[in-house]
Amino acid sequence: MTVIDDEAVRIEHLTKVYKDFWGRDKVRALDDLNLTIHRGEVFGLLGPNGSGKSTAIKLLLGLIFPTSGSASIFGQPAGNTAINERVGFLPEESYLYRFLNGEETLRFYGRLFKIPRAELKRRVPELLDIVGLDAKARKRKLREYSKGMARRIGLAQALINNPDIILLDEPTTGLDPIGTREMKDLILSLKAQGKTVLLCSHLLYDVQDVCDRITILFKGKMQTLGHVRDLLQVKDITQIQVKGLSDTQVQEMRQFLTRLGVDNPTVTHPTTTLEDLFMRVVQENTGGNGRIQAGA
Amino acid sequence: MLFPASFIAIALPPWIANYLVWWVCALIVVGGLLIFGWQDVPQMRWRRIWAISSVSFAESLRRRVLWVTPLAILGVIAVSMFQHAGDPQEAIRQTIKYCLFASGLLVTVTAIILACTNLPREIDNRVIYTIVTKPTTRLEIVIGKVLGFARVSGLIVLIMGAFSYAYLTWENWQLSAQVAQRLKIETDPTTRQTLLGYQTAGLLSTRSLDQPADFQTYEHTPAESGYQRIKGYFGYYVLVPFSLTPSDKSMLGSALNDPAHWQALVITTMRLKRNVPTKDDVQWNQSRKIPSEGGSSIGPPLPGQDQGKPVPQITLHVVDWDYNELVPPAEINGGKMAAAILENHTDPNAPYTIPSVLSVDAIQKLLAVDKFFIEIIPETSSVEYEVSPMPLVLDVIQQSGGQQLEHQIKPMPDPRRPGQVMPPRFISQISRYGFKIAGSTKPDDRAVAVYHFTDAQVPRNLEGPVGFRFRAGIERGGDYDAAKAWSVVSLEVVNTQTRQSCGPVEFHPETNQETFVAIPGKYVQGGDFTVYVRGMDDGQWLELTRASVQLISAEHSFVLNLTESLLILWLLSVLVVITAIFTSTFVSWPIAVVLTIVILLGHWGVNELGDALNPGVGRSIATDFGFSDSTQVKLVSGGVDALAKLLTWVSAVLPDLSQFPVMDDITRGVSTPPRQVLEALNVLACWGLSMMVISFVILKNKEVAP
Repeated sequence: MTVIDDEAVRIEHLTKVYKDFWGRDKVRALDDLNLTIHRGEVFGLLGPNGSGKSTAIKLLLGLIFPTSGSASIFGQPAGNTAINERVGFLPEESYLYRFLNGEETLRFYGRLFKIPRAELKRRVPELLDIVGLDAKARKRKLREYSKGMARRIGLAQALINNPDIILLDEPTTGLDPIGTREMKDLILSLKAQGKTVLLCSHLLYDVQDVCDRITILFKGKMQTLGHVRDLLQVKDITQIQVKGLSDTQVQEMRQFLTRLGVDNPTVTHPTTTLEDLFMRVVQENTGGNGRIQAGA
Repeated sequence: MLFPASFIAIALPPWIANYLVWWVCALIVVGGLLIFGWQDVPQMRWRRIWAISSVSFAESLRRRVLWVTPLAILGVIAVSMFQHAGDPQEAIRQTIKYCLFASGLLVTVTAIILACTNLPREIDNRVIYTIVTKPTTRLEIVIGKVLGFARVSGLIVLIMGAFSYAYLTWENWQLSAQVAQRLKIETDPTTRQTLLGYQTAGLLSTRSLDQPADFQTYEHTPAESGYQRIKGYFGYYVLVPFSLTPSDKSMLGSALNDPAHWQALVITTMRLKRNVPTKDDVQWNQSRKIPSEGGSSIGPPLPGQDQGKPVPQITLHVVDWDYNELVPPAEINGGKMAAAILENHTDPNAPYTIPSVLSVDAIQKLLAVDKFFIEIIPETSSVEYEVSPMPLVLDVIQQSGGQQLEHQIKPMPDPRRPGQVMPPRFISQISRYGFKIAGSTKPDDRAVAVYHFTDAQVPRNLEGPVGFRFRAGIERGGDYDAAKAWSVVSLEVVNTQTRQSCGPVEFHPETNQETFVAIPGKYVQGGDFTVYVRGMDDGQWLELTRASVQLISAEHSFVLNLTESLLILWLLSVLVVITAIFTSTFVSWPIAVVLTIVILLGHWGVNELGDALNPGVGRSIATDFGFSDSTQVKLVSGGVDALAKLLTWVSAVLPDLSQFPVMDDITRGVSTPPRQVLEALNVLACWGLSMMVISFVILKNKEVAP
């Protein structure tokens, strides 16, 4: 595998087939995925349930093994424990030790990295501040946390090692609108720090707000890939953006366009949404009825 | 730990065969780490292991595991309060047993539940995601979890140990006061002797005991000439040791393969003193259909007819080194007693010949073992059998062209006396507590148990007295003086080098209770000496084992002994944790719990089956179930034999929990030798390390995302 310095993640022909007890193919969860994520970009992995995005993340983290193909993070094979020093991971739910409190949780995860004791002592309260857990919450056991608090401590543990790449699985799930905004700000701040972020989300507006590039997976296959702006662009419509036109000027503009032979021009802001794109991709693959089968 | 090395060892050099367990374990550990862990081992960091172990430890404590310890403590107090041990030493030893049993039960059950459920639960609730996505190797996870639960076990052992020590000290103080009170009013000499012994040594006394190298029981004090006399049908037997050389086996093989021309016999040669039978002798002999010379074996003699002297007869058995039967009696001399040849025997001082024929099946069984004893049981009452240093040989007779060629197989050579054979061993009838010897007030009628101590660990200071611990079963009946409330037993020590004897020291033991006998230290000087034990009462039977007489070589601290027992218990709990983690890497937790118990108790369980797994069990079962068709018999017996073999093999590779003797010594007041801790450590190292590496390999290749 050729590794280019700019690449944070490289996935080549990655395939994962789940087999049954007798070794027969049961589900092709990921099918020949090829993908490159560049350093410093925020990359969105989208797809309906069962599309293979969680499988892709699990393969990248070494939680499961590929049937064929390969994946690497910073040039090291996925699952290599040494490279995990530079990786942060927030699972879709906060799978943490429920009997530890917030501080103990961060101290425990911090001790799994090569973080000097003094540095860890400094970093734990700092991170708890960043994710917005107050002094009282830090001393409470995780089993007493609300879903939003659990997401915050989960995010803190993902950042404990000051990672170069952060994998966020549904990062805004369970967060209130303010928490969601904070999370998006944090992602943008990570990007500003030059970190690579790979996020999986169903909240498409969130992805639209923060992602540089996205890919949409369906039935284990990559359906589309590109910059968010390019993918959302409607190419057969020309949009002229002018600030401060009066109604008379708008009327004159419309008459001018009619004279040019433009039929019934619309002078508005023609945009589409990420959700439209998502649904279009899905509908194209479900024969146009728009129904998606869970687990498909 | 045993290992099925019997046939592998043939092809292996001794430096491998003797340490096969270690080699196999080392192979698993090194192979596993080299193939699967070559990246993980260099990345291993103590800090991460300790962090994982601390989380397991904290989780266990916060799941309130320690709340069970007060329950266990209350259980011990309740049970020991309600016990009814008559003897104060017995009472305190029972309490030690309860304390250690409760500690052991608590620590093993806790270890199994915690360790079996931990990993499957972390995979199910996906906490493992946040561990394996850190720079944590699977090896660190396995070691960390083992260490974490070992710390939990250690804490439980520590709490239970502290309680045990405190409670036993309190009970010791109470019982010692009771002993002092009883001594003020007790008049029975046996009880006084016992109580004084407790008062002097203390109820929590701990001693090092030295075992005799050899133990035999004789009908009379053994003659130095090496020729011993045994009365027929009196419960005393002779064992002649054999070890077949390849040429011996080849000859016996000929008798096996060509029974038409070869025959194998056991030829016993003995001088016999044929006394005139008493009325009792006649009755005994008639009841067992032993014929009389010139008379009848059935009914009393007719009027005017003399009851002839009974024909001297013997029964032969073939037993292994632990006295277990190797050849069924029916396969030796057709299942009948062997009779002395009386024809042409005119000189009464000349030895008699008593031949017995070995069946083909018997020969086959002899060829399958390396060493065995041929046991001689003198059967005819009124006859005295003189046992020479070589009372019997195996004769293989070849019929060739009308000629008869005889090949003789002698008993096992004596390594200490070149050119001579091993002398026979003398034993007696076995009863509940051991080999029985008859006591008597008449010196000539007293049987004797002889304990040879060789290179014994004697106390450093031999100026004063040295002690022997005596414990034996005592039966009374028949001629016993019912008015006598206590038994009299004598113990005599003869120093092998100086030939000096301390003379018989009489004491009054109680059945199956410890008694301590003191003799002057000079008689055990050098560590080589012989102890003679005799019953001094008529109608009294002593039941003895090799452990009935032991030399007290040192006194030790009880705390140290308790610590050693608890350390062994903790090592056992670590083994339990490792086994539980191993099983939980590939099955769900309920199955892991069952499998862990099976693995831990498998070796013991198969040992308990004992003879039921011996070769030939299949045929016995087929016969018992009434199969008559040869195909069915073959199928059933083959299946059962294969299963028995498989069970034996599997049990042999499972850990041997008898190597963790938590209670054996301490509940007898005996110091646990440091060797026991090392042996436990040895099993833990062999089995534990291998299992940890296998667990790592399984986990390394396991997809932890469900």
